[in-house]
Amino acid sequence: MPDTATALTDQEKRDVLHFTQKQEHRRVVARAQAVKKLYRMGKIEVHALRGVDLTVFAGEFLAIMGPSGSGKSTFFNMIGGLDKPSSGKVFIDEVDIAQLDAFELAWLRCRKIGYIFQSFNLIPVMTCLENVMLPMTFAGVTHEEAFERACEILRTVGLGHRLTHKPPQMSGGQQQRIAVARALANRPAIVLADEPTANLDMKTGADIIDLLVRLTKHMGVTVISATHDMKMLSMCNRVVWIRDGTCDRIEERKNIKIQVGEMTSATEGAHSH
Amino acid sequence: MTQNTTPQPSAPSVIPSEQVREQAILPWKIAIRITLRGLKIRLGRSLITMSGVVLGIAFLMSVLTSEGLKSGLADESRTNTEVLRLFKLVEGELGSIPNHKIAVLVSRPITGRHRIRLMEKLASQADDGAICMYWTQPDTLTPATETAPGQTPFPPGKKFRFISDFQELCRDAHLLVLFDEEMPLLSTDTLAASLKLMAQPVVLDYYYGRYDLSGLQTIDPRIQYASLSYQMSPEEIVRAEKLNARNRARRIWITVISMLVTVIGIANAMLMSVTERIREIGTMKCLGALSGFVVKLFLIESFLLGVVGAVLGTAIGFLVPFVAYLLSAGTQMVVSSAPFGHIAIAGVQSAIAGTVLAIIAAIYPAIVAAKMVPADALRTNV
Repeated sequence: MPDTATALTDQEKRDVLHFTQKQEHRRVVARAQAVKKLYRMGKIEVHALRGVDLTVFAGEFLAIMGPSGSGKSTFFNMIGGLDKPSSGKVFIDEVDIAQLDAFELAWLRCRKIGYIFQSFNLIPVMTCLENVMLPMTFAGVTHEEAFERACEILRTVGLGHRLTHKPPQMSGGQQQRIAVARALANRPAIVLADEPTANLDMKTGADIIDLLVRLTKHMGVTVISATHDMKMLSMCNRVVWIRDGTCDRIEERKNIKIQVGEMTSATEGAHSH
Repeated sequence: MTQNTTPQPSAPSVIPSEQVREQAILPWKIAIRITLRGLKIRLGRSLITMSGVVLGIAFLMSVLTSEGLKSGLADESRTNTEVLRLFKLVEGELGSIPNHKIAVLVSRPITGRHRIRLMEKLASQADDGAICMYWTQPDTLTPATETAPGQTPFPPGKKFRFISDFQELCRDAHLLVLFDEEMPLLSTDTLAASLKLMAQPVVLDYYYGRYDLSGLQTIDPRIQYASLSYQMSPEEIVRAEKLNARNRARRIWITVISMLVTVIGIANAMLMSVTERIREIGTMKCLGALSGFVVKLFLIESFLLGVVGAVLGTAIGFLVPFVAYLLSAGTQMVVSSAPFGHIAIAGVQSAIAGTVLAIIAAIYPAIVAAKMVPADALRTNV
């Protein structure tokens, strides 16, 4: 990787493996229990999820894989508290999110979870800096402190020189860096990344993954990511395969062989493209 | 694990419930700051949205203003015709207004287009001091010897004299104008006796039959009597009523249509400006914004846009037809006839209506969007 600012060192790669090995002893940060989701489109009922169970441990990097329409995104939204399951339960830090009122849910989203989206979802009219300051404003951080912290985070993601630019003036990779900075602004326990590299080219996507892994590992943040990206898979601790609204299987990363962006393992038919 | 801001409790429940409520509600100050910054940043889009409000209200206001000005002008010309008719009658009797003493009985400040126009016309032609007034203040009923400051019954005081004795007032007068609206000040006998003192008893009556002046005519055959209350024949009354009804229906129709145009125009502008930001609302909710806060943002924004737009629209909607009428009908005519009171009320009403409408049209979709689960809001494509 020519970009030394974002590339992983060997030490960091070993650390990632280390987490994998120790995960059984770690605290549970998120848990899904027989989660079902039913969408009604007119008279047609669509079972997006038919009962998914999953336990996510603190500090791990979890990838959710599955073809389009598998319910992957739906499940991802459930575990991130962005949507409510039709039945079943989702626990974040052992709190059943169905039991939370609007205030508590907002509090949770604000401080415990950072979101990164496929299409960045930055506020286009706000500057780079303001976008990162927004979640801190919601968390009640004073303007001055938010400003300081946002500058610091943006420098860390390599955008220190573009603080006052607006997202539409920036490249996809740079926009996703802002999104990473925003997701980490309130130092969350969990970062949810919904196909963070899908709108980026290979090289930029790889940079973003490196950045994400480096920052979250440093902060001890749990990352849950829906992805198709092989590079992402190589970084994660576990892979959850979602298929037809059910959890097909959960695999340790070390059991999957990844070769130059192609996958040759017992994971038949998981790739959708 | 490094959790710098919030200490990680080992107990299952991580949400400190008292703290949650305190911190989740953002104060108005911050909401206003965010809104103002947002408005400044998306200035172009905000101006377009606001121009929707401006155009809607300007249209409504211009319709209301031109209706008001038109009816004012119609009133004015009708009054002028009427006053001219009476004036011709007086001139026919007296020959001319100068060199004649004019007596006026008045019980309170003269109001009403007819009365004012007539007095203006008399004052413009009569000699200085030729117009004498017997003015009883309505509260005390005591005749005034001179005008008290601020209580003049008729504004331009130069040509008026005040006489506290009614008989003295009528002595040698050529024209008696009766403005007695409160109550009959004089008995018929006193009136009859006074009329006999007049040099030439021409009587203009505003009593609308409070005194039996036809009876007076038998006392003194010289009395020439005219009433300002124009008596219409039954056919004329029917025709006038039909015309009135048609005009009123037309006015209501135009007002309703322009109100609808305004409502739809403003609602459309505000709806669009909110719906195109539903994803933004979803994003904000992901970042920890409460529905209430999102609604608060849109409330402030739509209020600001609504107020500025409505006031601007009202000003434009008033000025354009006003200037047009000034140019076409003449400054003097328009200024003296315009029902400014009514137009001002219409202006205040349409400004308020515009603001309220803008707020409702923006707040409704904002509430709907804010209540959506973030996943749905983020999925929305406009």
